[in-house]
Amino acid sequence: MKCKNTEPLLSLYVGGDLEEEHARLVAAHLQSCTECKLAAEEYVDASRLLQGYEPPTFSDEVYAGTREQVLNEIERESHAPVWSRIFSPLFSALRQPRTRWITAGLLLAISVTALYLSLGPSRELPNDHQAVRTGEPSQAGGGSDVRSHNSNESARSSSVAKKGQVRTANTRRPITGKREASAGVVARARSRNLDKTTKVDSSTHDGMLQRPVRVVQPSSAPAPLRVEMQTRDRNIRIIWLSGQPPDADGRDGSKGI
Amino acid sequence: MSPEATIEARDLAVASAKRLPENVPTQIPRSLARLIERAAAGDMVAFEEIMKHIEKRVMRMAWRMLGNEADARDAAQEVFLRVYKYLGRFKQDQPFFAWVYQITLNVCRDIAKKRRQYNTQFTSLEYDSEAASMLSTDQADAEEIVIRVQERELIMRAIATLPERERAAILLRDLEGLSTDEVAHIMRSTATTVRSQISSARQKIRAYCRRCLKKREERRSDEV
Repeated sequence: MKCKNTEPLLSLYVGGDLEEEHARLVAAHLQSCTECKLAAEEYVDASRLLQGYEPPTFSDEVYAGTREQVLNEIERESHAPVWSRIFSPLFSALRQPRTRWITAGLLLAISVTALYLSLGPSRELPNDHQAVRTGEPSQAGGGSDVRSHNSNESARSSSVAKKGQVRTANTRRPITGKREASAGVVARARSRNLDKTTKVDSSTHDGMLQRPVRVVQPSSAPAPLRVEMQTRDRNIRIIWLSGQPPDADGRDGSKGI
Repeated sequence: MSPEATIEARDLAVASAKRLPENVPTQIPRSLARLIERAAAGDMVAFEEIMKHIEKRVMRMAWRMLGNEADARDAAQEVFLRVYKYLGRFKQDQPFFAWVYQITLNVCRDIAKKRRQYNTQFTSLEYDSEAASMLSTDQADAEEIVIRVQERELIMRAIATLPERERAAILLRDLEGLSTDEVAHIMRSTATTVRSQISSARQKIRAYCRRCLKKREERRSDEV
C-alpha cells in the first residue's frame, strides 16, 4: 500500500471505521512509513481533543425548569380555541425556515390575484373606446385609429355629434357579447350623425386605465376641436370644445361641458 | 490501492448500506415502551418521565450543535414539544433514541437558520468563567487548567468551522458513541455517505488544530 492510498483512509482507520481488511493494510503501511505514522498520531490527538468537547454541567433546576415550561405550553395549547388549534400549526409551519419559499410563493400568488381583481373592471374601458371609435367592435384591429369623413360639416351637425358623444360617455358600460355588437350598431348610427368630421383618437391612451383622453379633430381648419377627458368617476367626462372660429372680438367660442 | 480493492470496498459499502435497518438496534426497554404508550394516550405524568429519560441526551446534543446554553435550552423545549406532538405516530419497532436524535437535529437546524449564525454563536465565555473559577480554587494546577481550557476552545472553534451535516455526523459518531449505521439512520442517509462525512470532518479538525497549534508555537518561540 502506498502513502497516497493510505492518507485518505487514516481518518477512518483512527476512528475504527475501516473494514477489517483495509484496516490491516493501513496498519501494515504505518509500520514502515514514518510520515503516515505521524499523520495518524495527529488524528489521534485531534480525536482526544474532540473528546474534551463536553457541555458544561447543567443543574437540575435547568432541567426542571425546561420540563415545567414544556408542560405549561402543552396545557396552554390544549385549552386553546379550536380555530387556534387548527390554524396555529399551519401558520407556525409556514414560518419555519424550511417552508419559507412556500410562504413566499403563497404571498406572491395572493398579491397577483388581488392585483388582477382590482384592475379587472377597468380593463373594459379601452374595449368600449374601440367600439365607439371604430364602430366595428367584433373585428379585432379591424378599424383604424384615424377615420376620415367628408369635411364639410355645419355647426349644427357638429353640435349633434357633441350630444351623441356626451351620451356615449354618460352611458359607458363594459361591452361584451351581444351588447358589444349592438354597441357597434349604435356607434355606426352615431357616426352617420358625426359624419364629415375627423376623429383623432389618442390610441396611445388605450392602455390608460384612468383618464383616457380623446381628441376629435375636424379635418378642415375652422371646424371645432373637441377634447374629451375621462375622470376617475366613470359618470363624469370633461369635454372641451373649440367650437366656433374666433369672432370679431377675438373670442373663439370655446366651452366646457 | 488496487482496482480490485476499490471494487471490494465499494461492494462492502453498498452491502453495509443495504444492511442498515438490521444493524440499527430497535429494542426499546419495556418500561420505556409502556411510558410511550401511556404518554401517547395523553398521560402527562408518563410524558414527564419520558422527558427525564431523554433530557440529558437532548441538551447535550443541542449544546454541541448550537454551541451555547440559551439556544440549547430553547432547542430542548422545542424537541420535547415535538416529541409530545408526534408521539402518536411513533412506531414501537423504531429505535426511540434515534427518533429523538432526528427531532433534535431538525430543531437545531431550524434554530440555527432562524439565528442565521450557525458558526458564530459558539462562544468561549462559558469556558472562560469555568476556567476562572477553577483557577481561583486551585492555583497549583493553573497551567494545566489553562492548557485544558485552551484545548477545549480550540476544538470548539474547529467544530464551528464544520458544515452542519458533517458536524452532526461526527458528534453522533465520536461523542455520542453511535455506530455508523445508527448515524446513517438518524440522518436519513447511507452508511457510505456518513463515513465520508465523518472522514471529511476529522480531516478538517486535524488541519484546524494543526494550524492553530503551529501558530501558537510560533508565538511562543517569538516570545522566548
